[in-house]
Amino acid sequence: MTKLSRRGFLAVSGTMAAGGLLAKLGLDLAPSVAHAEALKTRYAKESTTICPYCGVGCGLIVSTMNRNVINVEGDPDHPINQGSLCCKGQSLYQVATSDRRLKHVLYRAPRSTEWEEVSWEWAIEQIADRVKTTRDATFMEKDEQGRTVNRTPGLAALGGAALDNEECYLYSKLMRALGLVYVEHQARI
Amino acid sequence: MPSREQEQRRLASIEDRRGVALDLVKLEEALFAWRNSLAGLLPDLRARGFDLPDPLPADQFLAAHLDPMPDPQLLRRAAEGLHQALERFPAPQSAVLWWRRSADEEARERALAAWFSASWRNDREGLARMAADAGIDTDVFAWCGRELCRPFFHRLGETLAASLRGTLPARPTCPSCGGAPRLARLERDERQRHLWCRLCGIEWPYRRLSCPFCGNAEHEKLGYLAIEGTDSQRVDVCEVCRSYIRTVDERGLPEGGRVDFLAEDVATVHLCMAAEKRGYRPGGPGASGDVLTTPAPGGADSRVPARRGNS
Repeated sequence: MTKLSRRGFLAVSGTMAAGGLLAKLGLDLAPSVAHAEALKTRYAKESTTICPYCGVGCGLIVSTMNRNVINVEGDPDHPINQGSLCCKGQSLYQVATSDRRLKHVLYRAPRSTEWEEVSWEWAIEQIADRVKTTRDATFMEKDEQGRTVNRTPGLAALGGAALDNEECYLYSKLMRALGLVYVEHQARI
Repeated sequence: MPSREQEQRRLASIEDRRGVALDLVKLEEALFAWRNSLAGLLPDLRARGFDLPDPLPADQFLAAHLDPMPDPQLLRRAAEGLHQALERFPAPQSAVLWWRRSADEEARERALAAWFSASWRNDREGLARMAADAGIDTDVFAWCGRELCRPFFHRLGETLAASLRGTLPARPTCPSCGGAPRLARLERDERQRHLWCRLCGIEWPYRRLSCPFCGNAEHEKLGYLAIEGTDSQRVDVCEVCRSYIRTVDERGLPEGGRVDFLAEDVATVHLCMAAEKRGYRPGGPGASGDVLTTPAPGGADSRVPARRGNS
């Protein structure tokens, strides 16, 4: 047992509401005081969020310590899943921590068998270029009957359950602005 | 609720755990044996027509409308038994029989009844006055009074647990006495949080991410102290009211292990010390098994429309 001076004892037990009372009752709390002195604690937080996979929208509790994820579990107070998770949801912890998680953009060129690492800037520019090229090539101002439609049948968009409400709104707005009519969402299940 | 034998075994089993104050174990064991000796004498509330609403609304608790005063003979026997149980602890023992100082039998009975009543209602001012008159430290006097009430609150808790068919609704305070919780546990599989009242010995569910003392549900202002070297213990803290509650996570216990609150309460006093050293304090006006005389946080009216009767 850790040897504790009287000063050390008072420093711990004197501040303790319950300890103060227990001391008045004449109880020897030295073992608990010594253990508390040696105890190492770390501050952690729990936050609620929604599973990013399917459209069911199960509630999660994510525990973090120093901004690192240390646990992911179903939220027992969430009205949809009441704490339970499917096997995919149960493995969500790995999404944050797995060493197999992709950390860079990978690109496989046409007819290539190899993936190559590229920068975000290059990838975004490529996407923008190809969207514009396709849109320009397929854009229709008017349909066969001469009615103004301003649309492109050459592109389609598919949203995912990982998107939240606000992201879905912006995504939908962008696609409509480009003239897309084939806008769908994976969460329609 | 675990059986009395199970509780007694588990209490004895914690003596070897690191940081456990043996004095505290001996005290709880003595109190436990004393409560056990009274168990057969306590009145059956249901047999007396005590009518419980099922399910019990979240903003109500039972003790508020129950006239608790036991039979004078039983109360006297309980107080004398408590005196014997505290044999190893001179400070509280000498306080328990203060009412015997009165000159005549009738005055003694009145003093004991007044002490019990003030303790049941957690009338702090009344208790402080009585303690001053008796020349006893107020905290010790109030603690002894609360222990005197504990078998009767336990009976109320047992009645509640046995009478309600459905699960108790989630709530921050004890459905039996309206007091603040002392400990919490997280279920192994469903991960639901349950709070426990030391006074009544019962548990009830409550939201995971919400402070049971101030109702703060903003998770940015909630956290917990993870204890190095164990997955079964932690201290949940609220940054709004700066209160804490000790929590036992069943997932950190051996397979099939169940939380025994009474034993954990004694075995984890060092967690209180660690939390208080970091500036947190025990939560709620009714913490440590006290009874609230005012409605619980979030509850507009904590009174149960139950029939009045003696307990």
